[in-house]
Amino acid sequence: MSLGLYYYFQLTAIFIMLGWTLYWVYRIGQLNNAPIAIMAIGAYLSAYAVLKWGWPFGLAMPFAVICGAAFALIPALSLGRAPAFAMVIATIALIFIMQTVFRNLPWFGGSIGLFGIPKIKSLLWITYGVLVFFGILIFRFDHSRLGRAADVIFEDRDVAGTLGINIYLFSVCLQVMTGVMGTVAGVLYAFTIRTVIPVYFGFPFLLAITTFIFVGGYTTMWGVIVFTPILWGIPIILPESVAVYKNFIYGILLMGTLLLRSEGVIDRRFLHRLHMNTGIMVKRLFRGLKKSET
Amino acid sequence: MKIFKILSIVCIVLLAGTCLGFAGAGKGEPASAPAVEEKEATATAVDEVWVDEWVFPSSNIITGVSAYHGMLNEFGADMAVEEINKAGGIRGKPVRVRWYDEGTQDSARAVAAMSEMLDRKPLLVMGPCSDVSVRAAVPIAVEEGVYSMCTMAGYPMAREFAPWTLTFVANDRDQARAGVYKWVELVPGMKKVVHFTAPQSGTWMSIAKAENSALQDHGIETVDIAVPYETVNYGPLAVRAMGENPDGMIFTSHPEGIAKIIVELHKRGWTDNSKFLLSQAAPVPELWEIGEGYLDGCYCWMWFDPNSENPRWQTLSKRHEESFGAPASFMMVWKGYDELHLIKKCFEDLKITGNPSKLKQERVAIRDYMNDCSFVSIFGPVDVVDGVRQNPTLLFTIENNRLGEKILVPLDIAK
Repeated sequence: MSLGLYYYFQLTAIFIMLGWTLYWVYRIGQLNNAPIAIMAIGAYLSAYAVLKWGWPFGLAMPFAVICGAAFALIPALSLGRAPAFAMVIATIALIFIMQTVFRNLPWFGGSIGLFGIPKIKSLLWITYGVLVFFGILIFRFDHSRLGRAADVIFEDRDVAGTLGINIYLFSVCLQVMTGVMGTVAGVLYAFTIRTVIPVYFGFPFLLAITTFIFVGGYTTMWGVIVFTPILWGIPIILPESVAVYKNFIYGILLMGTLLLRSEGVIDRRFLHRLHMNTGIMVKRLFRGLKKSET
Repeated sequence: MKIFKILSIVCIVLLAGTCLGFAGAGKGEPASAPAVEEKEATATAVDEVWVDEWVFPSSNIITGVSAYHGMLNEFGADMAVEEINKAGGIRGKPVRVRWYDEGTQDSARAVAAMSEMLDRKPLLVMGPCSDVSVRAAVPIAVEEGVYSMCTMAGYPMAREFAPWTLTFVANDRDQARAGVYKWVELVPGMKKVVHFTAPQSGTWMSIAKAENSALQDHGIETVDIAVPYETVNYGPLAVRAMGENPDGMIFTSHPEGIAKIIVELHKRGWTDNSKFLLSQAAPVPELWEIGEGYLDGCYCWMWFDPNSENPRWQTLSKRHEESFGAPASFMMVWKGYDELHLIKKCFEDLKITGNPSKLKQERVAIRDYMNDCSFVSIFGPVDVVDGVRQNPTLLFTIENNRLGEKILVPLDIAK
C-alpha cells in the first residue's frame, strides 16, 4: 500500500472515531468537544509510557484509556446538566486548558513535545478493529432502549424526565464513553504521527470533525462514515489549483447542507427510504428469478 | 420544497462531476523527477539526466490563517524558478515546484501532504514549513530516507531529525543571546524586563529562553507574558506589562501581536522605544502597517539583512514592494528562492540524474552534500555546517517605520 493511501485510511478512521464522539453526545442535544482535549491525554500518556517507562503498546494503550476515562469524568460531572451552548464553550475552553497544561509540563517536553514514538507494525488493522468495535457499540446503543431514551431527551428534556430518564446520569455516561473513544483516538494518533506536541490537539481537528458530522448527518452514525472519507479526501482527489479552496468548499458544503438538509445528507428519513427501496428491489429481484425458473 | 430537492441533487451531481473531471486532469500533469520512464531507452551515459523536467515537491502553508506565509514562499520560489529556467534550468532541464498544502498548524494535513509527496518518489522534499508540520511529517520522510529542506523550522525542531533535515534558522540560541547582549550594552541600567512570548511555537519559546538567559547573565529580572495567537484585545497584555514597572521589553511573538502591544503601550504612556527589543521574525508588512508611527527607535535583532545591497535581494525586494506594498523583510519570502538555488548547485555539482535505479544512492548523496556545503544565497555566499546555515547576528534600529542602521554583533560576545 502506498504511503498516501496508508495515511489516508489511518487518519480517516481516527476522524470517524472523533466524529462519533461528537455524534454520540449530540444524541441528547449536547455538543461536547471535550474528546479533543482528552485525545491529548491519550496521546501524551501512551507516548510517555512507551518512551520513558519502556512499556509495550499493548500496555500503554489501556493505561492511557483508564486515565482518559477518569479524566473525562471530571468535566462530565459538572457539565451533565449544562445546556448545549454552555457545553460548547466549556469544552472549547478545556481544549485550551489541556494545551496549556501540556505545554508547561517539562516531563512532556513543553512546546517541543515528545518524539521518537516507535512504529507499530499492524496499526492500521488495530485502528480498524477498534473502529468496528466502536461502530458496533454505537449501533447497538442506537437500536436499544437507551437509543430511544436519547431520542426523547433530544426532543424534549421535560418529557424525558416524566418518563423516568435520569438525564444527568445519561449525559455523564455518554461523556465518559466518548472520553474513552477520544483517548483511544489520541493513542492511535500519537502512534500514527509518532511525535506529540500540544498544538496538534486544537482547532483544525474541531473544525474538520464538525464539518464531517454536520454535512454527513448528525442524526445517524452513518453520515460520519460516508462523508469523512469524501471530505477528508477532497485535497487528494482534487488537483492543486482547486484543492487550495478546500476550506471554501467545506464552508459551501456546510452552508448548503444546513440550508437544504438541516439534519445532514444522511438523516433518518434517508436511511428509512434506502431501507424500503432496497427491500423492494430485493423482493422484485427474487420474484424475477422465480418467474424465470418457472 | 421539491425545487430545493432538485437543486440539491443538481449541486451534488455537479460537485461530483467536477471532482471526477479535475481528478483526471490532475493525474495528467508531468511526473515528478525520478518517475519519467520513457527516457529509459535513450539514457545511455552514466551521468545523463533522466528526466524531462525537474519537479520538486514542496510542502507549503496554502490554507488557514498563516496562508500569507505560504504565499510569500511561493513568491520567492517562483522568482527562483524563473531565473533558473532562464539560465537553462538544472543540467539543461527546466524546473518546476509542485505545491502541497500542509495547512496552518494542522498535523494531520501535514502528514497527508508529506505522504502524497513521498509517494511520488522524490529525490528530496522542500518543506515542511511550520514547527507543527516539521514535527508531524518529517519522521515519515526520515523513515523513507528522503532529505527534508525544512529550512523555516527552528533548529530545536529540526535537529532531532538530523542528518535528514536542513535548517536555515541557524544556531538561534547563540544568536539570540548575542543580540540581547548588544542591546543591554546599548541601553544600560535595566533591572527588570518584560518578555512577550509565544508559547504555541517551540522555536520561539527556545529563542525566548535564550534571550532570558542573556538577560539573567546581566542580573536583569525577567517576567514572561504569553501572547496567544488568538488574542483579540491586546490592551490587557499591555496593562499587565506596565503593571510590572519594567525598564525594558522584549517581543518574541507573532508580528501582529507585537505591533498591537506596542501601540497599546504607547497609548498608556510609554515613550522610550530604545527599551524595546524585537525578535527576528517581527519585521513583516503586518508589523509596519499596524505599528506605523509607534515603532521608530525600537531595536530588532535578526540573522539576515533585509537592507542587503545584493542585486538578487534588491530585485526580489522590489518585486515584493510592488506586490505587497512594503519591501521584503520576512524570511519566508526568500526561503523557496534559496532552497532552489541550493538544489541547483547541489544537482550540478553531484551530477544528479534523476534515474529511478539510482534513487537511493542519489538521495544519500544529496543529504551528505547539503549538510556541509557552501552556496551563493540571495544575500551572498553562505556556509551550511551539519545541516545548519551559518548566519551573522545583526542588531537593527527601526527608523521611519523600516529597519534602519545595523550593527554586526559577533557571536562570542555572549560566550
